Amino acid sequence: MRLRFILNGKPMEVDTHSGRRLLDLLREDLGLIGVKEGCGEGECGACTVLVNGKPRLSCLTAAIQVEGKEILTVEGLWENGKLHPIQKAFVETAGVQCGFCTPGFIMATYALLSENPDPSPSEVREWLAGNLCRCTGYAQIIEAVLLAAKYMRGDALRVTRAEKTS
Amino acid sequence: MKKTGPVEIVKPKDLGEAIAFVRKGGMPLAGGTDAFVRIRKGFWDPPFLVYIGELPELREVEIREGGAEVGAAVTHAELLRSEVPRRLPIFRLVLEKLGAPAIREMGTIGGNVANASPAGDTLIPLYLLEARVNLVGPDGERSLAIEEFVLGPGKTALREGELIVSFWIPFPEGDPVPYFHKVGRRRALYIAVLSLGALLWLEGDVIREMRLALGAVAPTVVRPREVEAKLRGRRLSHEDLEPLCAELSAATSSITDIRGPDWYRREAAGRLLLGLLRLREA
Amino acid sequence: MKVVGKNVRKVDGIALVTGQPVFTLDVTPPGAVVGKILRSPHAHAEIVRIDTSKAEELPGVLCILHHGNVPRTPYTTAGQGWPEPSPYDSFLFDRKVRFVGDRVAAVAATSEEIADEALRLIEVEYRQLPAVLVPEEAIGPGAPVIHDEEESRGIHDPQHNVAAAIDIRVGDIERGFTESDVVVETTCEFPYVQHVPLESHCVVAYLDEEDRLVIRSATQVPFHVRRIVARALGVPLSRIRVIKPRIGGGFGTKQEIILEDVAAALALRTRRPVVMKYSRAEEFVAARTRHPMKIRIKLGAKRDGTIHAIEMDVLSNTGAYGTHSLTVLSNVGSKTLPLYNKAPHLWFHGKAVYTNLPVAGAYRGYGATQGYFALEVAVDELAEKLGMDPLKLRLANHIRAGETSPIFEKIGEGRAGKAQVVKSCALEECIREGAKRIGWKEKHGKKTSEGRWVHGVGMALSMQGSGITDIDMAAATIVMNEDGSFRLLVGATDLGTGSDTILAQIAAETLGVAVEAISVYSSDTDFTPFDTGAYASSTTYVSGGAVLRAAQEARRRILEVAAAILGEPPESLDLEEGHAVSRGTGKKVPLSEVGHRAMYVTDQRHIIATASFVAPESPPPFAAFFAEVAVDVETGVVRVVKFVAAADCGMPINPALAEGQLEGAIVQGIGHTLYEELLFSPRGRVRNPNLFDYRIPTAADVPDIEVVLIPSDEPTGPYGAKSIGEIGINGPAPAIANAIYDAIGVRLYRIPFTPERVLKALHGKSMG
Repeated sequence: MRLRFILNGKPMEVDTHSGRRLLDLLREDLGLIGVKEGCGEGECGACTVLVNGKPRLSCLTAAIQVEGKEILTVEGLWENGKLHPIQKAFVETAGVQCGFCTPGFIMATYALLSENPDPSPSEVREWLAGNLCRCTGYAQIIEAVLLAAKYMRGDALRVTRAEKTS
Repeated sequence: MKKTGPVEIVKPKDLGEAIAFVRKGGMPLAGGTDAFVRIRKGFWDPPFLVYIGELPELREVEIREGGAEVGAAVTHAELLRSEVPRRLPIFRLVLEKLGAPAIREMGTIGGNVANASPAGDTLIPLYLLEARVNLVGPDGERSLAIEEFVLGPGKTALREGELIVSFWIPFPEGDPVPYFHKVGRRRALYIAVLSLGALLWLEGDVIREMRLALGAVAPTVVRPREVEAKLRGRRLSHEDLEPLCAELSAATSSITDIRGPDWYRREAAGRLLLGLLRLREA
Repeated sequence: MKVVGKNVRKVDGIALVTGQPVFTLDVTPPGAVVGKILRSPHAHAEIVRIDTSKAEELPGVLCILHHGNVPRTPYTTAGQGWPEPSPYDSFLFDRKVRFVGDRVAAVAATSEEIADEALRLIEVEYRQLPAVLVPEEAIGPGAPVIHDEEESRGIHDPQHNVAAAIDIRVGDIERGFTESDVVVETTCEFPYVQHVPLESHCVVAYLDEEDRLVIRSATQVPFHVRRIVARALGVPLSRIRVIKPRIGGGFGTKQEIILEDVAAALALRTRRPVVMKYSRAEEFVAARTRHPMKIRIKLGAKRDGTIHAIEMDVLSNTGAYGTHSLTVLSNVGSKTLPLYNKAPHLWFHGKAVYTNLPVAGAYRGYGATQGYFALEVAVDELAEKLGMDPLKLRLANHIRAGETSPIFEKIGEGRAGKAQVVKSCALEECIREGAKRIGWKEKHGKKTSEGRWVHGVGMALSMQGSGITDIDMAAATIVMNEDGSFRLLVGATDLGTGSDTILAQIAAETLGVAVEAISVYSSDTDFTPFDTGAYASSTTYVSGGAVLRAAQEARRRILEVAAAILGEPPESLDLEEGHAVSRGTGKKVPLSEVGHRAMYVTDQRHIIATASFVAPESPPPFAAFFAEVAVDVETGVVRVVKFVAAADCGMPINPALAEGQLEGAIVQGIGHTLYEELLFSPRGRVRNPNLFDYRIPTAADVPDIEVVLIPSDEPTGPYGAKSIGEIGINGPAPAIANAIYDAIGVRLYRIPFTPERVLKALHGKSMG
């Protein structure tokens, strides 16, 4: 099928099979290897991407299900060589060990902070329960999310101030 | 093991076309959280899939007099964000514990019911609220009570070519107190070893009326009506509830699976009744 | 210290958070084909006939390998040092299958779908043999012999399915128990649990422009991969290059050669790049597990609480192959018994037994985890019988700095060990600090209830090692660039632990530069010097030791050049903030000038230093663990409310990364203790080979974990450091078991502590 969608802000059009996994479409056909496959069965969250701003598991999503939608992957967060505050926070708190689960965690975090800019630690834990990490024990990941929330609220403040002065 | 790649999926324009595809042997696909796993594991080999997840007719949540009509393709997350949990707080208790955010965004209420898992979380409130399942098929529309619709693990009254369109969820009288407790080893993202949902109409600490639904202790969700009847008029106290634990256990039937043995389910199911005491503290 | 001891950010952090193509399968060479493995449906069977003709006719199928067309060389899949202590009992493909999931054949095809279809078309006729799934039965009379092939070597007693055995005596154990006032005896059981790295085993194998075999693999042991693949395939070692990119978690399972050999054989046969990846189900069935064990332990003590005699009797299940069977078995004793070194009478004996079940191998903790579960539960029981606080009993008996244990000398890596005096030990402070943080005094023995939740606290101690004495060797090369920056080339294998970062910190500290001035490359058998690999808690201590030496040598050469520039003797110079600085005159010269001069100007040379470090001993890190649990007496559900670990890993090179190692290990341990277990059908098939039925902890399950590092100064370690990668996993099982006992008065001896086991135990108590 001819599939149209928006990928990391840019319109895309590809020929693909209606049942092709979004995961394979992104990794193999479009080279976005930041999306990882940890289990292929919707249990680990490593393949989490955002579809229309909401988290979705790309291993359980068929190409036809994203027709006309907006997809955001970890590659879409890194603009002009500048780390997104979430990425920055993960590096700073050592929320990354092996890093294989990290893109999925970052996308899940993005979705959380869009819905809830000031989550409590227990809200972070509950929200991230769909993303498995076997290295960190989660403490430094939770710290990263809380730090990212702080950065993003701070950034928002600065933006508001800048808008006011202009 | 088979990859999902080769599975052909069609996207009908409207409900009529969807029914036509299903009649030709296509199997409905909504969120995909269950379908793609079963296909990948080689447990299911449908000729082709009919993607009904975006059909407008299946996507509405409407609050009407006396109840709510919820489209079959409404996702768990959408249902949580809708008016429904405000009117029927039992849904919040259940849906917040259902999977992780991504699964809630993907999985639909219709898909969950169609799977007819005895541990299917959304079945608990539907049983408690005595919801009806609205179906449409080659022979027109019909409506079944949820207890008539679900027949056993993976088995429903769905006829060939039929689709679930929506659920009618009647508002109960008064303002019953909702209760939901799910037991699993792990706290998050688990399928219940067993679960108990309840609606209680209380006068002080006396149970005026009550409904119970047990999950994962029998081939379908169970409404132990005899226990419900015996609870009427009792106080929400250890002394009053304790004698009925054994009867609640007796309402279960044998399931031994990878998540737990039969004796455990039977026994723990009875004891879950004592969890209602928590409502007294609150 | 400018760099060491600081929470420097991970050197690979930015690449990982931005999703750069750094993992094995993120880049596939053009023309790559897919390799897949056909697996046995039977637990024990002989392959009578194998017919691949239909599969070969399938368009897109390039090659099918099976026992009839590959060399038959016995080898071990265990990526260990030399001499290899594990039996040579594996073949690339064999005429016999020994567990459900064992290799039968492999296919290379142009797509995954074609490879799958080809596997279905291979016809195999099996003659089923009696299978044995229970270790006790495997060594009993009339048991089927699992390894009856004559080519295997190094199996302790193949006729009785004993892969390895150990029997170590110190003092006189019978006398020891006779002289004891109090004796306790208990048996603890550890089931099949798995590593579950998020990235499953994967590999890309291809021939380069010189026709050399290149293996890019998610491995912890690139140099052992090279040696073992060379042996298995009969390819000269010089013709093989192994590249280790970023690794998506290992924990020991990637210390095994379980895909590289097949992928390499397929690449050689097809002359095409071959990509192979375990599915999650294959990872559960056909990767490796921890050795399930039954450990009977007997402790004797004097009335005053001095532990006087310890007997440990181990029955270890190594599954279908004996990889790590002897060394894991040895470690059950060698890593636990020295902790209570006051006991003069010891008997440590056991067997590692073959069964027709999945293959056990190396797993973080490596026998110590199983050993500490038994030992620390028994110590708790001993304390109760003595009427002593278990904390005081432990304080009275644990090893201290300046002390030794005969076990160090008696048990080594598949052979005798080496005497060793513990030079650094902050365990006593760890115990006191941990006790304070959990509220031991206020809580222990005073269970409290909140509705149906009953709370209790428990504790456990542990030590591990830092590398393997006289065996683990690491080398490092430091190359200075003309701008005063450096490249650090190490064979050490960062599998997510952050070792690249701490090795860079050690180099930066020594060379007086910022970490940013060092770029680390690990590991590649063509370009980085040898390292035994990332296992046995060796990287910080052993690889760190090599980096320190190489950096010291580079420093010496830099100072020579700087001395010529500044006209001062090298002894009067220091390296600070990217300069060589005179202590006397304060004159200084930037390293960029030193590098430039050495490379281009005068007395030209490239400043490069390589150094090796062999573990002269294995200084143990120590830890005290404390758990507070809540038990739901209605449903039997156990929740860990709080977990405290106080650990001594010497001087931590990077405290945040060290804490991350502890936290991660603890949560894995909690998973094993409460949730995880591979389950089998009566015919030996894994019933839960997926993350839906094999549950690992999520962020929502993890309790409040408090980790505190109590420094000590290890004189033989780089900047006083010891290793920390494994020890955290030893604490949860015994600490939680003891906390459950404190809460509900019932002892549980078999993990995981599932709701049904807890409820059953509660019944047993009320009935008895």
